[in-house]
Amino acid sequence: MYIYNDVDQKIVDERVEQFRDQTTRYLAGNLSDDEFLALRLMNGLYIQRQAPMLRVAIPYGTMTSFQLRALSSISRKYDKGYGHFTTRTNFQLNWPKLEEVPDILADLAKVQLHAIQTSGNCIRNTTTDHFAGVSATEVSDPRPWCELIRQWSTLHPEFAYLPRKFKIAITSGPEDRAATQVHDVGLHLIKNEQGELGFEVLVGGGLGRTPKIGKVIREFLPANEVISYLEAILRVYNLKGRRDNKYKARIKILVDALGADAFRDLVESEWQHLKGSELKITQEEIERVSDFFTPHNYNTDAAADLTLDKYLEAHSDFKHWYLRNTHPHKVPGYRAVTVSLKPQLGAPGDITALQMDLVAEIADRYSFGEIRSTHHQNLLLANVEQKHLYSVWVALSDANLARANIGTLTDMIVCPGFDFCSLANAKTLNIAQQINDAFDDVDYLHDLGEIRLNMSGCINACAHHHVGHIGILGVDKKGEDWYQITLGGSSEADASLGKVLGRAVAADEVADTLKRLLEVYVDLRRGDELFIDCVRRLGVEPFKERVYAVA
Amino acid sequence: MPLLKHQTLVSDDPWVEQETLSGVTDQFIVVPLAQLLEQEAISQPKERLGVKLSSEETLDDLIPLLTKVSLVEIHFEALRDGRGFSFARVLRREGFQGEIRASGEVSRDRLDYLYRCGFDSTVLQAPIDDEQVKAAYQEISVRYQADARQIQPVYRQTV
Repeated sequence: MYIYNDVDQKIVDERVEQFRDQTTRYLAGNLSDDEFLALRLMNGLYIQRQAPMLRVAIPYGTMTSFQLRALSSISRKYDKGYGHFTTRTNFQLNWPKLEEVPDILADLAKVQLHAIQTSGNCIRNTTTDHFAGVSATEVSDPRPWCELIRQWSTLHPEFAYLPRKFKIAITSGPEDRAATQVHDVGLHLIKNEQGELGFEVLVGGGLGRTPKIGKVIREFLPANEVISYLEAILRVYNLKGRRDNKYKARIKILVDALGADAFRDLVESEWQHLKGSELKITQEEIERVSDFFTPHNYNTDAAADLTLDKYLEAHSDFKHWYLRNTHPHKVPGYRAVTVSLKPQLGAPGDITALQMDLVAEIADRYSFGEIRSTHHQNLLLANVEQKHLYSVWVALSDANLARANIGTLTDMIVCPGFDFCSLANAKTLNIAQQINDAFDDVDYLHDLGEIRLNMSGCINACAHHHVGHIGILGVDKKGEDWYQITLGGSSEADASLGKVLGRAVAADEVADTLKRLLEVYVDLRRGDELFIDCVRRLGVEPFKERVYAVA
Repeated sequence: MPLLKHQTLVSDDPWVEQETLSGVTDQFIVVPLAQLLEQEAISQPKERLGVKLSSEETLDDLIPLLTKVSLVEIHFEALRDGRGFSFARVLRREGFQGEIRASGEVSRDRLDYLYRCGFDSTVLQAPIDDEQVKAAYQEISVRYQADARQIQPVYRQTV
């Protein structure tokens, strides 16, 4: 975990006082609505349908137990005792009071947290693989680079009023768990033939109204030039990106309009002025930041303890959970454990204050006091010794955090929808509940296997429905909620955009439609073929026939 | 309208806006970029010539003319239009050493970013007092990244 030094602390402390002053001036009528809007957004504060919403940054999804306890305590003190984790690994409070937000920010600053640039047309929180540092297949740990980018992008004077928001994701290794191909910039940490560390740079991915897969504009960028290169990309975007239409203002539209080659030429030409300059990161600084992410003090005998096998044999529920919710770790005898925030009853990604305290305590006892938030809106205890898995399962089960559904249909990514969000056209949480009710049979879910379901309540696609194996988009038709279904999307290494199945279905037909879709899969799959592979092989036609024939 | 120069309120600014450029004048004049582009030869001395550019115009046309002017005024057309910040960075990178001035939709809460990107002066639309000016530039006292004023990021600066 990165620990703040005096500079880091001073910036967040001063930012709190700056925002307090801005809020005071606004409430006194000395700052216009329009002006305050831009300023509060850059501090993560939205005014939503029912109340303000404050988005707290969880940089690259990593927290300590004391930070999670602070989130718990803040949610009790200033909100309704719960919070929500987002697809970009941040944390949202749904019911803060505008005048109390400066105090919330001050409490966050005490535990090295902030809400800087979690909204607004600026550079947002950099995200990464939730298995960073524990994955056996990663080339190098992406987290130090995320932290270096966090510092560079924080309160950057030139890039605070971009045409639109700007999101960066980093991954390393063959799997892509950070959806890097649908980010404004995706960075793949790699090594070249000489064994030097660098980045493959993708630009112009994104979802929303115009979904696009990012394009490679540089195959190998020396790692220590990542800041200078990002500065070149951002400058070109800030100067050339469209500002006449907010729906055409993301960098993907610019990259598309110019063509990837012409865009690359502009960036490379700007970069000629910047590379090798003071923006090149010094070896000392890379080492200083990397030292915060050295491997934990693992038990080298962890694999020798075989009590796990005994528990797996004795408890089928535990075994289900072990198979679905725990993941391989590069150190023998350790597993990474997903804490499911996808219960049978409850909004995906929501967590209560009590649950936060409990997860913090489990992390302290069994996982080096560290917790991660994932792109899939769950939490992760990345370093649990196998001999403790049973105890962890018991504790999580007691708190309704051990539903054995990770990677299955009910591990849905869902935006808050019309119930909370003022942009949404349709509700999502009621549909999520309908799906949960219809697919509660554990054995059936496990038989269906790996399925990513993403549901957004409007075309802004906060839940990335285009890249769900099954995507659901809520639309408003004459005051009624209808749901358009797409099939075959993916945000991983084989990224693709889903294809529309056919006309939208009514709100009360969503779960039944999914059932029919999945019957087709069960009937036509070959052996242990995954759902996504089956859809890719067959196309949408057989699914379409079954769904609309019945209706 | 209040004018800030190098973080201080000033009242003795010599520059005046002029729509057209013809011949030579003793005044310190700022003319629109389009006017400069129309001229076959510019006789107004550099010391007393400034150019005004809208954030919606492109910088490319201005760059060849930078040796002929002492002031570049960048007019921000909208609050959310941040192109001007990059304009200033590019002007400094191109070696322009004259005054860079911000006008239009700029305000107290953007003063520090403007200064850090290389702006020397800012024309504000709303009144401001000395105390507010001081706060605007000092409320954030440490900066992570390199900028037009401090070319070294914080970790390169020796303590």
